[in-house]
Amino acid sequence: MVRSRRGGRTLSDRSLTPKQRTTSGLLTELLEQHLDPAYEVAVRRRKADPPSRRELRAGVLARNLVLLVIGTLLATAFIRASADAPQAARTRAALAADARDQAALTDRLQRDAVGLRGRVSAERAKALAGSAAGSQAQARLDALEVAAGLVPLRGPGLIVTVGDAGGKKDPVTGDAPPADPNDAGRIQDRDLAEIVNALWAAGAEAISVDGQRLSPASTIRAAGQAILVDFRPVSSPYEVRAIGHSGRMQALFTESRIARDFTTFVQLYGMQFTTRRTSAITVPAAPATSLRFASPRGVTR
Amino acid sequence: MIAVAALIIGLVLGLVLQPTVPVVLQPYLPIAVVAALDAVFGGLRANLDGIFDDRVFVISFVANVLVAAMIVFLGDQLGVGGQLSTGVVVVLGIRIFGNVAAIRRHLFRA
Repeated sequence: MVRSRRGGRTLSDRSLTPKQRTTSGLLTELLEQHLDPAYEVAVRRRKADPPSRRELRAGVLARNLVLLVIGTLLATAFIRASADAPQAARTRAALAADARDQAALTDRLQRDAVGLRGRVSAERAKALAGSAAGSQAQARLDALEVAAGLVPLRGPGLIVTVGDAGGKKDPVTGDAPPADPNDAGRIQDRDLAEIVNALWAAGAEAISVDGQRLSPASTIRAAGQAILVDFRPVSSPYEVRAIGHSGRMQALFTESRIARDFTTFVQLYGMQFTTRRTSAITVPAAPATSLRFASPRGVTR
Repeated sequence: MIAVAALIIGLVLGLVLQPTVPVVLQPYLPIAVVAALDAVFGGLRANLDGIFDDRVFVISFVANVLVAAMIVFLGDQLGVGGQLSTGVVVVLGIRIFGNVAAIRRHLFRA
């Protein structure tokens, strides 16, 4: 707006000549002048010099031709846009299906491996049973296998369940908000690792996280928004099972720093955290750790 | 009426023939659509204002599409294609909005 005081009156830029108006800023013009100014100019030109019949007919033809082109353009753009969208959705669905298939395959192979390992143990036990040295070796093997987490175990213990804070809804759509890795109410990989460590410290003999048995070489880490236990994703709520003296373990675990932290988190962020004693839980076998570089002392490979 | 018929025939032609857009021109399709909409709504408003002119309409459409495409092309060459596309869409979008508002006032007196 160009304002000038002349005799107490305020002049808006509308009353200025076009030449003066050019100084009033591109943005004002953009926001106020929507119609092509050429239309007004054309009106004046037509008044001064009315077009002939031929010119009029040519104009109508050109106008309809352009409208035809515009229609085709819009339809083409529509087809392209609608062809692209399902393509993206299809790709995503195919990738998700691939991921599920591969996960199912790993599960099956894992089960096969556990079954085969059982048969190997049975055969080995039969072979070793013959001699005194053999049964001694068998006893040692059994103890080592249990220690390495290579056999499923059962016994009394503790089930610790932790979960992300939930229940928050988008005030507009009513949907749950997309998972935010920086959300304070989300369980981090470190939280799970600390819970597991506290359970070991409390005397747990075997631990599984969401059905994944922890072996001495297990890892709990984060990749993007997912928490991976031994490179397999686990999801909230996380169930941590620990076999051990359930009473003593519960007492020690409840005293641990992470358990006390979580009691606060429950109040602060609405995260889930429960500890339950059970008389009989089972944990599956852990996948065998394949050693590529390490070898036992005194044995050459 | 003939104008509306021409537009609809164009739409049907596009849907039936499904012309393939050359790969070189594909980035300009969205910009061309916005430019075309600007020309159409500008023409419709001028028509309601009683100042429609064939020459202005045809030239404004062709010029709109060419200038918009040129800006995007230049932007692509300079590595700021996305930003310039946004600029074109914002400017034309404001004009479309203004013209549609004027058309609405014409039709509904509100």
